[in-house]
Amino acid sequence: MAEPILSIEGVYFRYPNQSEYAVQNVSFQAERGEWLAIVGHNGSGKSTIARLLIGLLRPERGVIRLFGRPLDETTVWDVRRRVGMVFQNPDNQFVGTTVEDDIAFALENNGIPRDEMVERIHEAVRQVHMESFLEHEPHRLSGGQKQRVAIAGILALRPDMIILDEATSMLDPRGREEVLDTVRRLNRQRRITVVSITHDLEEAARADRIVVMNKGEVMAEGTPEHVFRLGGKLERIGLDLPFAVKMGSRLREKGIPLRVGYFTTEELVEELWTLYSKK
Amino acid sequence: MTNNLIIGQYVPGHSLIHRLDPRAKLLIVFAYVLIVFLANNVVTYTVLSLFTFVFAALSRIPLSFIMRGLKPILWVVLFTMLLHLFMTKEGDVVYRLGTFSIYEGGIRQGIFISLRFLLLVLMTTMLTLTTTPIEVTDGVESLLGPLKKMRVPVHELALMMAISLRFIPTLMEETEKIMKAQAARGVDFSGGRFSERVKAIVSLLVPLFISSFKRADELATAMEARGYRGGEGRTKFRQLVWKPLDTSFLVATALLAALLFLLRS
Amino acid sequence: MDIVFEKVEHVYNARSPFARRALYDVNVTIADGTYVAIVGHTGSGKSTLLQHLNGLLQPTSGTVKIGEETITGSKRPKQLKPLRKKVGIVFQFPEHQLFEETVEKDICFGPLNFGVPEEEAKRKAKELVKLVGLNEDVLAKSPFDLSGGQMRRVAIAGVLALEPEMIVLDEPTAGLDPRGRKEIMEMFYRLHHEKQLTTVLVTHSMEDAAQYADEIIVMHEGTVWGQGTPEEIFRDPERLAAIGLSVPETVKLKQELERRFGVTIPSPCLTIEQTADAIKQLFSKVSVHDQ
Repeated sequence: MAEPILSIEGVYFRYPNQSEYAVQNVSFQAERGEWLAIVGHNGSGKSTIARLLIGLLRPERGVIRLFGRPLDETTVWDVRRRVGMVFQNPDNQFVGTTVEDDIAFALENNGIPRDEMVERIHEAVRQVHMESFLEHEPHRLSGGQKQRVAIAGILALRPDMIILDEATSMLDPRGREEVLDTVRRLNRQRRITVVSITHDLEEAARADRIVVMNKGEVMAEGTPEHVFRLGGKLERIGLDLPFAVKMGSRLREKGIPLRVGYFTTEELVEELWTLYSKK
Repeated sequence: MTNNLIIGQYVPGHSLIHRLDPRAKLLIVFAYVLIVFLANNVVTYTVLSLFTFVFAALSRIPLSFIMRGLKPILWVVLFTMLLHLFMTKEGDVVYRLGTFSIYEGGIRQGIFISLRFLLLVLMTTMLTLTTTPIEVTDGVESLLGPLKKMRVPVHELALMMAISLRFIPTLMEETEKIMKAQAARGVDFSGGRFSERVKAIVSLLVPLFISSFKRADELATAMEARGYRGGEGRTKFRQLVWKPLDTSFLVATALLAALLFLLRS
Repeated sequence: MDIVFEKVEHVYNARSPFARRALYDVNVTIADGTYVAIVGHTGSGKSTLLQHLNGLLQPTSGTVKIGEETITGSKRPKQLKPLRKKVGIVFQFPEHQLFEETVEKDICFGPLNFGVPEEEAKRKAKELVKLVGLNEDVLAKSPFDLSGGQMRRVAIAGVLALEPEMIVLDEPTAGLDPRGRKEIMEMFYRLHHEKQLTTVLVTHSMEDAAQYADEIIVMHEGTVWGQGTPEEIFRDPERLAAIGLSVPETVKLKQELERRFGVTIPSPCLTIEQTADAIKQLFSKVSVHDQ
């Protein structure tokens, strides 16, 4: 097996003046090019993990390794260049007065020469389909557009990994789709590793693997298919199963002998059709 | 509420004045503020006014727009004029009414001082009308660059200014939202007793402060995540390019100063 | 108390170069005691519409009748204040309006503004914290020491404290996790039933609209695109798709099944339960047929 791009082992963290751990004994890994979802209700410790991953917080115990090296003061700036993070509130991460200024911000921080900056900015806006907005000011953009600018700002640094910290939770359905489509494309086409932190299992269903957090600990880990088998257990920790999973289990309760292990409406229809035509 | 105030309002355009380097415009306006005081007779005031009007005309900003912006300060001008009219006791008496006398010197002083005031405001307004706030910031940062050697945090100050500018519309929107939410809870922002008004303001300011602190905190985190660690080793995307046009405008301003110096009495 | 919109138009910054028409030709009625959902994209005019419900905005032309009161563009703001007590609005992220030192004071703020005696306001605050699912001991705490979800409940209690005849909810669950979302939605539904509180819900969630509302108003580009029961509105998914809106997942499933199976499902399939029954029936019919 190839060495994981990200691995965290036995990590503990608590906020200052708190006796309880926000994150305890958490371990998981991510492969290059993988889409890993970290799910949990608000306060389950999932956002704390995001902050630990790029060194905004430091674990009390345990080791975080990125790109084969432990995360510490000597590597943190390199990690921040290779790992981009999209935060929840689209407004509070937009630094520049215009779209191009904002995309330039991280490039400036990394001392990229100006000529190269211009080139990279153009390349980045094209990838998020915001070419015609270069000179727009943030208050003239929708939430989804601002998040795409944030992604462009990360792409300009040619990253290996993108972390979405509840990046779609403040968006309307259209904005959410825009952002997720963009990230999915980057994940597939450019093999950028994605770690998406969310409480939306519908969104997590698109991931390759899911880590379920509860009370600061990892409760389960595996493919969506594997994780959704937990069913009611996930609902008890405040999560909402994808529609097809919920529908399926309701139908099974009504005596329709459906198989387990699908989470899109299309798959459910196929499953029902197979049963129906057998009759 | 902000519609009548044009000071600080940028009007997009591609005129000569728009295209001037913000550093050039800052230097010209700064020099102008000093030069204005050289004028002290009819000839010098005429030359000064001519220069200013030509400058304003070159900006291609509609006169009506500029005039509308000057309106709010007209009463200040009028007051200055009257003050000088009655207080200056020089030259021949032109008009006498009871104990009041208006002297020739008073009329002249009144006109000169109000003209000076008007020209000053006009010229500084030209700067903000033709330069985006962020360009002004870039210009200031560049002009103050030498102070970095004296450990003045020029880069940090400029970044602070730029971020404030970026967040002005966001905060205005937020203010409106909070006002509406409180109005829905029965707050009357348009009147009421003094104590009610204080309460109304508190119900607006406290939430506004709290959300601004939260924003600042999140913004700082996002900036750190995006690799910001101070001005050291940073390159700049926004670049200022000094053109021959800028030099010629500076020369013109220097000539104006020289001319006024020769013609003043 | 009914609310009736007649030919309502709203233009922001009227008579200026920045004028923007946000609403036009809006004719809707919100009947007393109903639960109405307003859906539509960001920028469709939903939020402008809802601010007309208690006179925060006045129409630039047309009239809004709120009970006995008729609002036109010329009404002076002073006369509008009593309406705010009749129609309570819970804005998006209502926790952003909290400002008092204690939860109790914050909940009492609204009632005191309308001249309710302090004792009575405090008594009501005590009732309301329990109603929104909080412990009585939060009353003495600072609202800023609470979690996000708890702050939202306090803010909602602050609006309910006005004892309005109608409550308007602007995406009351935005940013909450699934459990929080469900709890808040159930709470408002209970209130609607128990107190016959007229409820207007502005939402992006077609599922919520289908599940809770008696009637749905669809807004599109500044005017009313359609109004009807959930069954009527979701009957034609293609028409909704044309203006970029979706239907609830259950309706999508029904549609897919009809296409794949070549059958017509008579049930509107607005909830999971209804849909499960409809599918069950579909399967039993087949068995009968086979025999």
